[in-house]
Amino acid sequence: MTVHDHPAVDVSDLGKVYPRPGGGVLRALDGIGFQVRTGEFFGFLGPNGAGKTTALEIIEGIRKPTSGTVHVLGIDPRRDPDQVKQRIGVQLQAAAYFSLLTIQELLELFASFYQRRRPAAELLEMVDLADKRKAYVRQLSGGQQRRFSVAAALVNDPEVVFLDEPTTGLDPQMRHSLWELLRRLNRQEGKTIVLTTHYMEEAELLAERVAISDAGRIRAIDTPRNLIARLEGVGHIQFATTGRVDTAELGRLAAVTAATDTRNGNQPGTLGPATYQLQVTEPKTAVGALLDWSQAHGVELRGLEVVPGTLEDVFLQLTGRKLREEQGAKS
Amino acid sequence: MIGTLRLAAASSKQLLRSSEIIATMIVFPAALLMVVALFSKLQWESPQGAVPLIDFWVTGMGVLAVALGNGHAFLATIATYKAGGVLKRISVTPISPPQLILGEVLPRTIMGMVTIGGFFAAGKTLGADIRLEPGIVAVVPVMAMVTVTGLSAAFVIAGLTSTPQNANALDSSISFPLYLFTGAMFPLAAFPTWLQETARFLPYTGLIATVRGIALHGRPLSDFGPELAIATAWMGLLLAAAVRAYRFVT
Repeated sequence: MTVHDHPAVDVSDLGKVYPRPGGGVLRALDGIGFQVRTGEFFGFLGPNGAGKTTALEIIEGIRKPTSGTVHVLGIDPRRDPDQVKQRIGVQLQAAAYFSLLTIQELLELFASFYQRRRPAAELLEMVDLADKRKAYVRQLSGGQQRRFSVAAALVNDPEVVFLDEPTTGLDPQMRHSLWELLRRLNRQEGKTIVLTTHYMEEAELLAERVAISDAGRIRAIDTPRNLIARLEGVGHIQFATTGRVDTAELGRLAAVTAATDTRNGNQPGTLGPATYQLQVTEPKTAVGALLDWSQAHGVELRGLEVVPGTLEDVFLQLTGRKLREEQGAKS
Repeated sequence: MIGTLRLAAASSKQLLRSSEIIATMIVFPAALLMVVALFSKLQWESPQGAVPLIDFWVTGMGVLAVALGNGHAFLATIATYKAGGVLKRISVTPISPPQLILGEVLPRTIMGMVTIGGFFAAGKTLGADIRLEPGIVAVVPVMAMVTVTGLSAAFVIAGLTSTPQNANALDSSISFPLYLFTGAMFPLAAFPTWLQETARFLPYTGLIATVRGIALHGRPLSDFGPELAIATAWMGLLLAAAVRAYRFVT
């Protein structure tokens, strides 16, 4: 068997159960299974508590599963954790580093733990931190710290890189810069990347295939395009009005499942028109209903636009909940 | 092996860059010596005769200052590493818990040796009857045992507690009786017989008696077989517990 005969990651019927304080159990993972091909960019999309981090930590060999099997590059991380750790790179969701070592010293130190090493200077150059090589981690900005974490995950020139919510908390500019770096790693260096995220646009933009997870289960796995294609017409209608309208009224229109005001021009201190977004199951019906409603109420609609569905809609359809609401409720 | 040595080198580098080094090697021992100097004219009277307090305290407190001062500083570092996620980050590398412990313990053991050397030299200057002669070298392996025991205990405490605050509280409650009952501050001969017998089995009692015998009376290590056997058992037990109890993943 050659290295290419097996998937980079092979997870089968993986379960993890934690005892709850006061009795009962919490099923963090409920029999999940998926495969990641060598060289693939694989996304794990789901809200907090979906089991993404638990799954990743079991795959990385730092957490024991209650049931199921895991193979990374054909190796069982429970039986041979060192062999797996030598060949993977890990960026944890929340990790700290020795506080009194510079970032160059840290990369050199971490590289010394592995048989295969990549020069610190090259990694710092890759993540645009060469001029900060003598800085401590705490002296870096949030975005620089995330880039450093990615560099630290590459010290052993790994075949598979696991990234646990690498862009959470970053501003859009920093997020885009990190996305560029991850794309380069995957496309130019051929790294297999497994990324967890709760940002649908991140999964949609970066991942070749996405696993949508919720409450310890995988609800669907496919390419973002195929997942969205399953929506069968689900999408959004966006428009602006010169004055405020009642969103509850909009929400009652035919084929409309939700209505939100995205910018309200009548609020104190705000300028311009009020803008609205309708989530719809059947755009044609919804547009007709909206036009009828606007005529009947004498409301002028501006910039009317029908936007196709997104992974957010896929999540809603699969779980009955909004990914972002879930985030907000739990954070 | 390279990883362990690099960890030890990195740990030394961090020690030299931190204020911990000043606290554990200078401030804490110097404060103890100042207290000792204040009572330098006093003597302990015991059935075995009079012992100058300065001799007794420079040796006994010196050993405990290294064990507990070093251990306390180390505990703060490790508990913070644990709470902050440093150890979890290391757990995803091929470095094992024993390698990490060794990498952290090695530089602090050397630091402990330097501290006790300075403590004895300063104590002698203040009037303690320390025999700074070739035989004093026998103190080195004993002090290595003192340091490893203290640091292993710190690892166990860090592993058993969930926050640096809890670790600190547990450490303080363990340290206090050690000062009182290991013969560091008060002669064991002054205790009731049952307490003397119990105190012999505390982790540092035998080590303090051994260092005192070598430094004050020039006795050889071979005179302290039972004391060193008890201390070795404690060191082995705590080292094994440190490796087992330390939970990388919080």
